[in-house]
Amino acid sequence: MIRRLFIANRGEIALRIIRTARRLGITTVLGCSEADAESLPARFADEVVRVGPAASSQSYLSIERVIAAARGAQVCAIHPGYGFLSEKAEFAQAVAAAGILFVGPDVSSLRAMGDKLKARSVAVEAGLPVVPGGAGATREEVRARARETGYPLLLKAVAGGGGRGMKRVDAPEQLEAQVDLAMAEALAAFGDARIYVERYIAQGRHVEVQLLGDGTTTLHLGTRDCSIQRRFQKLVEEAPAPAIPAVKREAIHAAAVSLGRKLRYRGAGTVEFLVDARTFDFYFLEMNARIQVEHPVTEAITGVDLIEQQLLVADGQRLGISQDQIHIDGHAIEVRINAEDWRADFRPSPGRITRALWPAGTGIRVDTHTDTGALVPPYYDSLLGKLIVSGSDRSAAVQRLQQALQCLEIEGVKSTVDLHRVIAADPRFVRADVTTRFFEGLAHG
Amino acid sequence: MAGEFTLSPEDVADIVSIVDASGYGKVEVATTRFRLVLSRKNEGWTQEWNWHQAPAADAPAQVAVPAAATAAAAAVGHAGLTPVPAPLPGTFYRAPQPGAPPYVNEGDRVDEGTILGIIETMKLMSTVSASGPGTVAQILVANGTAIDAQTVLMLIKPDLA
Repeated sequence: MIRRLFIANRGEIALRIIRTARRLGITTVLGCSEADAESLPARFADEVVRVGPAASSQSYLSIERVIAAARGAQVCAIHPGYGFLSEKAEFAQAVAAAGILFVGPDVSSLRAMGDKLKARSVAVEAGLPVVPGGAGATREEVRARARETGYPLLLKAVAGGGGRGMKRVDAPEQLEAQVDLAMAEALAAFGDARIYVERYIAQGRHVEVQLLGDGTTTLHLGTRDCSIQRRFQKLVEEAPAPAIPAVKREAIHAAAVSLGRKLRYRGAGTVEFLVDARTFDFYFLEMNARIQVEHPVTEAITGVDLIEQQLLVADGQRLGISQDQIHIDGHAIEVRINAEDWRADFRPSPGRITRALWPAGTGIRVDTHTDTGALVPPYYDSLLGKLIVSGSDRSAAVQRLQQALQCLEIEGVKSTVDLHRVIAADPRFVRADVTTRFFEGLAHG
Repeated sequence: MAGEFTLSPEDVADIVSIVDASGYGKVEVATTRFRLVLSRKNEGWTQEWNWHQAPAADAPAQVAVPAAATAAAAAVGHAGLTPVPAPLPGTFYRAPQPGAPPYVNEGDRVDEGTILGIIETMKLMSTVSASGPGTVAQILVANGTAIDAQTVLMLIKPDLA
């Protein structure tokens, strides 16, 4: 039984972990940086240990310092939260070597999912569909790949990155000319003419499945849709993913579970898919082998405390629930409130919060470490908190979100509150017609 | 502070549903440790927590906000020199990555747009550039220092027009 738990994180997730630990009678030791010594998690933890100065490289990201602090505090387990060291195999290994339980998956799962190419090949072995594609060094090879992937497709330089030299080809008759151009450009730009051919998904959605495993059993807790993003950062998440035909939804669940089984996965993890918004064909993207920021929407519709299950499994116990005990009930939406000036290209806005009014009431959950007077340091990410609303169905949840956002005010720093008011009122969002390109079509300003 | 939460989020939701049925518009709970104000607003309710005004007796000592660099820099007289202020608070770096040579050293010539350094704020990097041609007269902030917005990072001696 875990009696003393070290929390190697900060902010809202540290507070979230403390909450469940306290309910379970576990003593918490927060390892925080000097900049977070007056934070709410530091006030609420049973004990506080300084792991280092403000810079995360010397505190939250320092394996050596975190392990030393945890050893000194004589804890039984370390919860890494999300970000920082949570998915670092070397960290999990160092925790085990120190004789401490790691609240996360086995090192083998972290290794398998930590590298994108390896993750893709493990997923293929587990029978998951991946975005069709492959590399070709000659015109003939590229043509052969194109026949496999189908149209529309994208041509990318194998050696390239960041969208440079990317070409979209809509039909076979356009291929020849575009291949020549793409290969010439790739050679000129990168000294390597090889081309990667990939199916182009014009209208894609980001859909993920929450998994729980104990090494023997793998369960899923339904889907989440996180399509509303900007620069690959999620802004809005909801559960379950709306408007997906039942057959496809079941297939997505089953695919995620088979990856979890293949890994003999232990703990909480999320399998992410790109879903074609028109055909609902889905493709494995990656797996996050940790708790995620958006986990509360799943908790809201299943009633399962995911942190509790993580702690159970880390302790060597079996999961406390079975698949037939998991029922999806209602709909939940989370919005991320960040200290950013979204009208100025999401420029960071650290500082002192002079006033924090969060909504309260039925169907409203607020996960935040920011109260009136809190300091938002410039050293870490900009998340101030998460507003999670739930309702009996999606339209009830959307309505509650719109209303709750009218009761949310952050003063002293710029925040994304009014951006979320714009999103919540957007007709595409209201009718669940959302793709990863949602932000491009947002009325700025 | 081995603090109890005192009021769980569920407790707060319960209190809101009780007072919502009443005619009250505001409920205030204050202890030596915190202050919670629940208020009606736009058909709903807001919760405002304040743990910071109430002193936490056994909380760790207050930590200084990164202010160290500001005072020293502000005290410098800038006669004939153009100060380069930090556009954002964060960590100031003189080089693009650890071990790399600095963007500029004292005595270097700069032009409008020459990169002088970078500031990391909330995991995003912003560059600091020269506003016009001149010479780097003095670098006031060391690599890797935590700085406030408007901290003067360096002084530039502008070319005579």
